[in-house]
Parts: sequence; structure tokens; C-alpha cells
Amino acid sequence: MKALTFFFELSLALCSSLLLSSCQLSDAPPQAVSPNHQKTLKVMTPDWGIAATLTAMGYPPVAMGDKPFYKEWVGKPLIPDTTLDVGARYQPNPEMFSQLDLDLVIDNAFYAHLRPMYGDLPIYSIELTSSNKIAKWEDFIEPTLQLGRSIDKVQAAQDYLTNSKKQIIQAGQTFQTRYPHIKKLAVVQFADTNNLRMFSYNSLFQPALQMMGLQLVALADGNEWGFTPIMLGDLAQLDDDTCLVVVEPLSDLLKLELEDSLVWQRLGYFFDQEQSYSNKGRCLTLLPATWSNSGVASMNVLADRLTHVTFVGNTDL
Amino acid sequence: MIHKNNLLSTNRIYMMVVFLLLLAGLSSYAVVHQLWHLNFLELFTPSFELPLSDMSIQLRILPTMLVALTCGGLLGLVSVLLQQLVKNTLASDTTLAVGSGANMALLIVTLFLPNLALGGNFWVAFVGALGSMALVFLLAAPSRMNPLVLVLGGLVTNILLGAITALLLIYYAEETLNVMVWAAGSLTQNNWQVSAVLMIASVVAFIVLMPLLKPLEIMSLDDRQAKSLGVPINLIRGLVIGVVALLTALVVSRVGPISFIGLGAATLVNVFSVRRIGYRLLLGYVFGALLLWITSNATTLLQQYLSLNIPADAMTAILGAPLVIWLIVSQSRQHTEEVIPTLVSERRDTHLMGWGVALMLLTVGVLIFTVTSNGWQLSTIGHLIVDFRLPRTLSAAATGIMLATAGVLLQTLTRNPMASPEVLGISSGSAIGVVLSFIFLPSFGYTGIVLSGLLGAFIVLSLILWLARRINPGYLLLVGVAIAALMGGLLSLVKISGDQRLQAVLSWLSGSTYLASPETAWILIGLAFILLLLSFMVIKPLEILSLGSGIARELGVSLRLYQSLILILVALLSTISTLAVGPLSFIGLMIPHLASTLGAVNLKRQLQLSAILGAGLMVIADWMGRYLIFPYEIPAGTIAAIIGGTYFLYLMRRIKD
Repeated sequence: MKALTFFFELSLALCSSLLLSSCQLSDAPPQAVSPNHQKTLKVMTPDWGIAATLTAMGYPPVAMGDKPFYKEWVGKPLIPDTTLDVGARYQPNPEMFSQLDLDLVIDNAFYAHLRPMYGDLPIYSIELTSSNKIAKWEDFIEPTLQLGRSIDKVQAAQDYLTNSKKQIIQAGQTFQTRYPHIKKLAVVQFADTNNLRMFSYNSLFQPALQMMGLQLVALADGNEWGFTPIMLGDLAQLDDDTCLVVVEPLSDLLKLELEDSLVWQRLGYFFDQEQSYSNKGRCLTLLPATWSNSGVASMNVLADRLTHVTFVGNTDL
Repeated sequence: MIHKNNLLSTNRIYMMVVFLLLLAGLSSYAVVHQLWHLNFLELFTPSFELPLSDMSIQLRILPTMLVALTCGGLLGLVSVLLQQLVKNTLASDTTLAVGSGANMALLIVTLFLPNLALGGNFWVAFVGALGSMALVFLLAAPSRMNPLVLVLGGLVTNILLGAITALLLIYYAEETLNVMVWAAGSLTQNNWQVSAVLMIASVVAFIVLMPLLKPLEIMSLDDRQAKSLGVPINLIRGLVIGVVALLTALVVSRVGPISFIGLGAATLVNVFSVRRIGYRLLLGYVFGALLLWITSNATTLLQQYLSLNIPADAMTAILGAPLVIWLIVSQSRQHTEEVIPTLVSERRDTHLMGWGVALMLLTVGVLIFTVTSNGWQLSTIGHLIVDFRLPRTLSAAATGIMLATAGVLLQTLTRNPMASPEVLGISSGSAIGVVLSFIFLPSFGYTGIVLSGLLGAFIVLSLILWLARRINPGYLLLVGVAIAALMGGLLSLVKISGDQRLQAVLSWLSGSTYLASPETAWILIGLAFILLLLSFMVIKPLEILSLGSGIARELGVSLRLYQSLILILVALLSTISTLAVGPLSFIGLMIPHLASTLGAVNLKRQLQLSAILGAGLMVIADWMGRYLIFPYEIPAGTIAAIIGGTYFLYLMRRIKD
């Protein structure tokens, strides 16, 4: 009897879900739209940086990892709706992956453990980072071209590099007409009220700012991801003529907690323009989420965002 | 004689306090030496007179230590109060789920009502703390607050709330930025506010408790007697519960969840068998304060050394759990035979065939009814089933069978309805073995991992069995809780270490069948069946053993041989399932009870039905985990804990004494 009831319940559940599924079936399988008439290779990448760079070149991947979170942490360039989400970056859904129609996979060493999943597909591994202690623009040329070669679009990669360089330098000029006195920037991201990451000279912020005619200031050399962990109080070591760039996301709760922090109060930074003005606050800006691992694409976004952000506090340094 | 004993114990208490003070002093010296570069006395200069960088270091030393002291003290106080209230030496803010209730309430408010900016709000935490306490007390009410039932209720509530938290964090991963801020459980301060609030709270708490001491003392003897002496029992109880909820909520909302300090402090107080309530409360505060102070210093030093941001909660578990285990072991002589409550169940026809058929249909159903890139549909594409769905479904079923079997064996052997590989910490022991072998013996590969997993399970199991004859069954559970907490702490250290290799372990131990492959799945299900068959062969001796050692000896059963055999069997079952999907799943605790409430009262029937039900629950949990938020995943262990936990709480109303 029990078993029968159970079976009945089970089939009921199956049927009801089937009804639900019919609604979802209506949005037909999306297809990647090629911006070019010649054959575009269908790429899947678990990595945000590669997805961002491919998209910026005009050839977005057909599938990528952690797509919803890309919006919060990387933001630009916008990934088209046609790009499918294969689930968590570090653990993509193998069942979903096997249903994709792909030509190749592009990854980096961070995702090496996933390679058995790709089967016979060709795999390109490209690191969009600089291995030098002080990163230069030149360090990023080769990996970007490599990315272009992997999808048979070397020319697009070349054009992208040329345009990007032009745009970043142009953005630097725009920035300097707007804030002629700001020369030195320190870039940080909050982990919690006491702990921050400070991006250092081996990060892509270094060449990007350099091309914009600005100077990156860091308190220590960066680790392999380009940052050094610091405590809030360490910000006191920054000179007065250095502006603080806080990379978002920064939660509202964290802002509230910072306002309660004696250290933050004494540092003399304010997020709010009026408050900062009336208290003669130090120079600071909030930078919308900019991923620090997307090579040239990140530099582009950084340059563009810096020309649009508003610095609060003393900008006549 | 009595006088002399008291004197002795007073001396021992002083020695303990002095020892802890010494430890705290030394570690504080190390912290100051490590961080502070000015003259020692300058550490006490008013903050605003110090240069900014020195001030920030001062704040990391002084108010941080004050917060540790007061937080630990309050949690110790709360736990002693709770123990007094329910007359149960296992009660604490952790074991009765007070802290996790407060935490859960904060999480929900932060996730769903972000505009109210109530994250870290004290009143929200208060409501949560009251809510979870009420739930636990309601569960224990039918058994007239039987100590074991009460702690079991707390335990299950903890697991359930933990699983729901994990689920919410996965499901609302985009909105959890706020959550990460206050749930960090960091004691590090950057102002004096929190320490001031907690100090005031400590003073107020003691003042408020003053007039309650006398009635509490009378109530600790006998309720009826207390009533006849004119003590308003219910009023006092309500007041105490209110104080407990307020103080716990304060701690959780200001610094995040801090486990084990309260329990450790209260257990220390019990070890010294202090009688007078006022003295107990004071000692509880002192012990809690010293324990968390030492832990906080250790965290700061380790943080400096590893340059990692270590949550205090991980450290309290890593340092507190061994303390609790040690205290229990050192107490092992006080064994009292206790009446163990059981679920009321009656022998009925178990419809084994029906359940078996249902399991088959279920398995086929989950294999073909899934989400694809086009949404929910019936999908019968052969290679998808064979390559992806079947291995995971089989692995889930195999772990279900193994854990349920281990649960039945353990519950019968220890005659403890709350025994299971997860609850007694056997799975955690095996997971600790795995993590340690990954860190220290990476060159041994899979053999090393399996062997150290087995070794871990076996050590815990032997400890449990050794203790089982010496301490109350309730304490046994506590050992399990401590080992599980130790594992949790270890895993969170692994998580923040950022080591790639170790991240793989973490995802392995997350309770998911993600890593199941077509090759391993068949081996796993084969092993599950072999071990299940072996269990049937020990039914007879197990039944005799479960009658108690006296009867078994009279019947001439070679006790040790069979006991060892069953132990090895349980170790194998727990280790293999831990290696397959990780340590958290709840199946072993719950399924045997479910089987017996469905009428499988005799051991053979219980084993059979448990295997089927365990497999079924895991198959469903795994299927839901894979497809509910496709292409993302929820670990099967999390879903099994939510389904299982809810059902178990429902069942618990039927526990009578």
C-alpha cells in the first residue's frame, strides 16, 4: 500500500514537472550569431578573462563558466545572451558540456583539472597575465595574439591590440583634462573591513595606468595574482598626493561598518561627495567592478571606467 | 572527607585558572611582541594620540583581546545557564542550536530584505536565537526534556540550519556579498565600540542574574520542591531563556558565530564539580573568557605567520574540540546506566518488495527525467545516461546503502538511537585522514588517501567504542560533535589557504557525487552490496551483543571477535562512503529510525529496508542537487540533510521516555 502511494506520488511529481518543463521549452535553443561571414570557431572557455577578451575582439564564446557572476565581478564587455552558461567555473556541469557543439576549448593553468572532460577537442592554454615583476604592455601582446591565432582571427587580435592601445592612451588624455592634478593612484579591493587586496606592479593596472600617463602606487610586490594583502591601517602609509581607487563590488553593509571604524575615520576618506567636501576628505573614487585577470580587455575597461568615475575629496593635489 | 574533597577541587580549579592565565599571558606577550614596535606602556595611550598606523595596530591588540575575553565569557556564562536550566551537562549555545538560529535569521534578513540594512542587527539575531531555542525545547517537550532528546534536537536543528544556510549561499550566490562581511566571525577590531558594548553587557548580565541565583539553586534540586517553596518556576525559566537568547544574539550579531567556547567552558566547570550556582556562573565566564582569549591570540599569531585571514570560528573548533574530547575522556570513570529513549514503533508488514520496486522505478525515473540545455524534459539519450547520470545515481545509491547500513549496525551495537557514522564523527575522522594525507603524504596517491581515510575512521571508532563502556551515551555524541567541528575547522583553514590541490579535496568532500565516473560507480555499488551482505552475516552475534555484555558473556559469544568484526565493517562502510561523497549526509542517523517506524523492527528487516530507503533518499537528493539549479549544482549531502533533517524533526515528536 505504502509503496503504491509512493509510486503515485512519484508519478504525480514527474507529471507536474513535465508541465513546468513545457513552458521552459518554448525559449528555443539559442544560437550564436556570427559577426563575420567566414566560419567562426565555436569556443568554450571556463575563464572570465578569456571570455571577456574574445568578446571584446568580436568573437564571444558559445559557452562559458559562471556567467551570472561575471556581471558582478567583471561587468564589461557585456557577454551576449547567446553565450551559454556551463555552470561553476571550477566545476562546470559535464552533462551540459557534453551537449554543446564545440570546435575548441581555451583555458589556462587554473582549470587544468578539467581537461579530461573535454575529450578529443583541441585545447589552447593561454595565460593573460604578465610574469614580470613590473608588468609592461608588451607582456600582453603575445598572449592576445595567441588567443587570436587559436580562433583563426589573428588580424582581429592585431586590430584589437592597436585599437585598445589607442583607446587607453586617449582615455588617459581625457582623464588628465578632467583631473589635471591626479598623478598617483593606489588600487584596492576590500575583503572585509580590515583586510584588503592592493594591486601591485605585476598586475595589469600597472601598464594600463602607465599608458594613461598615471602612476600606480603599491606598498609591496604582488603575488602570482598581482596583489598584496594589506590591513586597513596600512593605507596610512600612502602619500597625500595619492588617490585611492576602491574596486567594487563593495557591499552597503561593509560601507556602514567602515564608517564605524576608527582607522577608516582617521584615514580621512569618505565615500559620499558632500561629506567628503565638508570634511576636506582625501582623494578617493569607487571603480565599478573591474576584473584584474582579463589582460587587455581589463585594461580597456579600466581606462574607460576611470574617465567616467568621479573622485571625491581633495583632487587639487 | 567532603570538606577535604572540596578543598582539593578548589585547589585544582585555582591551578586550572592559573594555568590558563599563564597561557593567555604568554600568548598575549607573543602577540604584542609580534605586532607592537613601540614601548610596551605606549600600548595604553588613548587611541587618538597615537599615529594612525600605530593606532591601527593598537586596535588589533587591545580591543580585539577585550572582545575575545568578553565574548568567550558571555558564551561560557550562557552555556552554564543553559545547563542549569535543562539539567543537562551537554547543553550549550552550540549544542542547542542557539547560535545557529541567530546566524540563520541574520542570513535570511540580509538576503531577502537587503534594503532594511539589518545585516548584523542585534534584534534579528535575538529573534533567531529565541526561535531555534523554542524549536529545540518543543521537540524535547514530549519526552519531558530528556537530556539526550534535547541534545539530539539541537544537533539535528544545527545540521538542518547549516544545510539550509549552505543551500541559500549557493542559490543566492550573487547576493551573498553582504553575508560574507558579518559571517566572517573575525574578532579583529578597528574601534572600541564592540568591546565596550560587550563589557557593559557582561556587567549587566551579572547584575540581572543576581536575584535569579537563589531560585535557580532551589530549582536545580527538584521542580516540585521548588514550587512548594514558592519559586515561580516558569517565570524564572522564561527569564533565563530571555537572557540566554539576548547574550547569544549579541555575540553572534557583533562578531559572528563562535562555536565550542561555551561548551568547553561549561564542561570545565562540570569537571571541577562546582556546586554553587553563583560560583558556577562566574567560573563559566572566567573559563570562557580565558579560552577565547588564548584562541584569539593563537589566531592572530598564525595569521601573521601564514599571512592569511583566519576566521576565529575555525580556530575555536580546532582548539576547542580536542579540549572537549580530552575533558570527556578524562571524566570517563563516571558511568551511569541510563534509560535511553527510543522512537515508538510497532512491528508491521514492511512491504519490502514494494519498496524495492519503488526504488527501481525511482532510479529509472531520475535517469530519464532531467534538465538539459532546453529545460526540463524526458531525455533518453543513451550516452548522457551511461556517461553522466548512471554513474552519479549509482554512486548516490551506493553511499545511501552504506551509510544506512552503518547506522543500523552502530545503533544496535551501542544501543544508542543517536549513533551514526556522521553523528559519532566517524565520517569526519575519515575526512580528516584524507585531508591530512593530502597535505603530508601527497606522494602516496590514492592508496595513501584510502588508507589514511580508513585509519582516521578506525581511530575515531575505537575511541568511541572504548568510551562507550565508560561514559554516558550523551557524552559519546559530544565526542562526535567535537570531531565533526574539528573537521569543519580544518576544512575552512584549507578553504582559505587557497592551495589549488587542497581546493580539489574540498570539492571532493563537499558531499557531492560530482567526481563519480563510470568506472568507480560500479565498483562502489559492488562494494556496497558486498558490505551489506557481510552485515547480514553478523546479525545473530550483533543481536546478542546488543542485549548487553553480561548476557552475551553468559551465552558464550566471543564478544571481542565479533565486536571487532562489526567495527571493521562500520569503518569500511563509513570510509568508502566518505571517500565517495564526503562526510555530511545524515542518512546513517535517520534512515534506521525511518525503517523502524515503517515497521521494520527486527534487525534483519531493518537492515534490508534501511538499505532501500537510504539508497532512495540519496538518489532523490542527488537528482535534485544536479537539476534544481542546472547547470549549477547543490551537493547531494546538503539536500539529503534538509529532507532528512526536516523529516527527523517531525519524527522526534514521537520520542517518549
